[in-house]
Amino acid sequence: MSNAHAVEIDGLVKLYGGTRALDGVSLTVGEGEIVVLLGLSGSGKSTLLRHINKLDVPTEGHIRVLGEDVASLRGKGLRHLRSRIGVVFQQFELVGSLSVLENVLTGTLARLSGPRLGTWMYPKELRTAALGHLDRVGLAGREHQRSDTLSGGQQQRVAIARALMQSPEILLADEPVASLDPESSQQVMDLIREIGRERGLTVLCSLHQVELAMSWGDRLVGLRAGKVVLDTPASGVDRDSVMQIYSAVAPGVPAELAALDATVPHLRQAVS
Amino acid sequence: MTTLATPQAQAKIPRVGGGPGRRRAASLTIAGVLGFFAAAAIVAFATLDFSGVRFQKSITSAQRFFARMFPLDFSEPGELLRLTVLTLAIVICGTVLSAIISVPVAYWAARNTSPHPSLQWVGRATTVLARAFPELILIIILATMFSLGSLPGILAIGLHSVGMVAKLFADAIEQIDEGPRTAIRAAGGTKMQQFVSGILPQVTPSWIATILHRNDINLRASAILGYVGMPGLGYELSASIQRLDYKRAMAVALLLFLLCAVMEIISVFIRRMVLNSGHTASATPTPWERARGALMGWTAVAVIAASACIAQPNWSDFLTIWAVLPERIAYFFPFSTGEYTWPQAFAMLWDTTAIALAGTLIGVVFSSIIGSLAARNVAASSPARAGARLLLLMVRGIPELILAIVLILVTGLGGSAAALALGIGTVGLLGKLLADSIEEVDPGPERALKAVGASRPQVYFSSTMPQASPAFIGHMFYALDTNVRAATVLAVVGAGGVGQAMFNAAQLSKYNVVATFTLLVIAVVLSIEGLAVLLRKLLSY
Repeated sequence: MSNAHAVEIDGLVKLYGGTRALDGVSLTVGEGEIVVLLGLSGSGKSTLLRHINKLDVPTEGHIRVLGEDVASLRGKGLRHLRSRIGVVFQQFELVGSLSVLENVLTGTLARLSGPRLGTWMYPKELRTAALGHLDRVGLAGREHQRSDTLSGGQQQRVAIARALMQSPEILLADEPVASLDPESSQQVMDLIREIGRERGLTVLCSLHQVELAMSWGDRLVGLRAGKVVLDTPASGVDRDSVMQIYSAVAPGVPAELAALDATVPHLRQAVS
Repeated sequence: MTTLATPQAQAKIPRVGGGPGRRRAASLTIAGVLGFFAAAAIVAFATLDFSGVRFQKSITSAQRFFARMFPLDFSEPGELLRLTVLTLAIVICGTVLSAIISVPVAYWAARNTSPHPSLQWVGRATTVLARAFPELILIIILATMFSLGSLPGILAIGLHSVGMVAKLFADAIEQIDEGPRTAIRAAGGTKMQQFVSGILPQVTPSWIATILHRNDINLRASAILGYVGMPGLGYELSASIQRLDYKRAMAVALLLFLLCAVMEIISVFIRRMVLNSGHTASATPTPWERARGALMGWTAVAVIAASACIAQPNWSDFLTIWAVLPERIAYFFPFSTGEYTWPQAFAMLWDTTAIALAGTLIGVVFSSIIGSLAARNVAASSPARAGARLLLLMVRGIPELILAIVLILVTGLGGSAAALALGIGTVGLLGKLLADSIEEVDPGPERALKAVGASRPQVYFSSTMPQASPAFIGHMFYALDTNVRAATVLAVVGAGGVGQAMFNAAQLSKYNVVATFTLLVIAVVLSIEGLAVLLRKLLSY
């Protein structure tokens, strides 16, 4: 693990209408670190990830990623930064009617100029590389299949291969296994970690399953109501302290209810 | 247990869609069919004369034409008003008739309500045939059976519109939530009760939208029906052109265009109100919200009753027709191409198809640009999108006939002017359909490619377009088969082709020749529809 920082977030606030989705988040991630973001749905995990590649714009605060000030980037510069960050989505987000190979190849679009229609419009060496990545994720031989004919776990592995095509330095994974069965979940999570280690990638992965998170990452970051409420190395951490970030644990409930009570009049107002 | 588990395990194996071999064969077939049509369209485009020499000539003839056009002749405003109201009344009667016929047809044709598979087939076949049968031919045939007046026009509009209205009605029925209907069945409700209480409330907004949409189409078509004697603005238009009185003709054309535009705006407004009513209703509706539905219903009844009174169809014809019907039907036999040889007949059929192909080609090229820019997820900004949408709306409002008349008179050409008119009309129709299908694509893959760092055009070509293209191909064939019918019909203003032969034959009362050519046109339309169905199937591999 080097000392350079891959991601530096300072005082990040994001408002959606009147809702504070992120409420003063500060977080530094070192190069090659594998970090898990934990929290309930709505706690701000996905919003935080979306800010790292500027799919969302902060209301307040600063973000530096791979040495670049994200806020100041637009156009070509922004696309270049995005090309250095691979993303794996909860819903895979493949184009169902295209072949597996073409979906993987779309990962290289930022490096190519102009639109591409069909696999034949991509250079031969990229096609070879794509086949290599498909082999790496265990889907050799599936390249010509329509991607919506694959199972969920297979589709997510195609999405990982697409991210690999970018030769990314950072890999963001937003609830990558929330739509998968336990067996495929394990395969996909193992694959992400192996690839991260192999290539020395910085990995930020949001999850809501505590057990999975504890055994998987180097570091756990817990979010609740848009605030960082836990930041600890994964080794040696006990389950109870991690569970604190969930309102399901008894001590959390009154506090959560109080917070809800405080926001209800506000929400009522917003609705009417 | 193990034996029980086996089928489940098998079900888990992902659907592979017949494997890469079948998929490759499917893509080759798709490419082949599309390539064939593209080649045919280009050949058609090339054979129609759009050359520069003609263009220069047409500028002079345009100057002459415009000189004879102004000032527009709006004399006898009372008469013009009467014709406007009469046109509207006839069209509304025709649309209402089609809606009434469409209810049982749709009930049969919808998969989930059809009483029997054979009736489902009958229902679907009725819609396909009604769609394929040009209303202009219908009115010619009906005019031989009924006395003059509004009745043949109302029936022609009504019967032809069943093709689209019943199909969309049936599609709406197939999309309902089955729950309420099952609940009524479980409570012992009759089939009729299930339909009225379980299905009708769910499909009403969509049905009203369909009826309004069809009414706009019928209003534009009324221009052409005037050419074969349907009273109203269309008749006045054709009579003025025959008198070479362009000052009057263009005044009527302008009036007709304004009528279409106003009706289009009114129906957009009502559609929006009806389709959104479920979302905007608050828990405690205001008195206005409660009264609105009833008010709209009674207004509709009043409008329909007034239309029936104004159109004054000669109802007694329905009593006398039966005596002469067998004799009139005998007019249409035996099949014959009349004075033309079969090769000549097919050459004329190609001329008509060529106009349609060239028009569709023009439409596809421009609508794929304008339609994409009119989609929320592609447009650079919301004013740009609004501008593109407005352009499409305006283009859609112009009746093709008026466009064709102006272009034919300006350029002095038949076929190429008609193709251009169809092309412009296609841009309006196809552009809107394309914009709508682009807005409906799953935004997830677009976001994923944005995250990859792809540029806007790259996102469009690698994610938006592959998702929207099956719908677009479907719309393209729909436009093509609409254009084949329209190209036939545009013969009334000199587009030539098989339509010309039909009108000549109709004027000589050789109805068997009309029937033969009609069947040829229907065969072309049906084969296009058949190919569209095949492509839709192949695209899912």
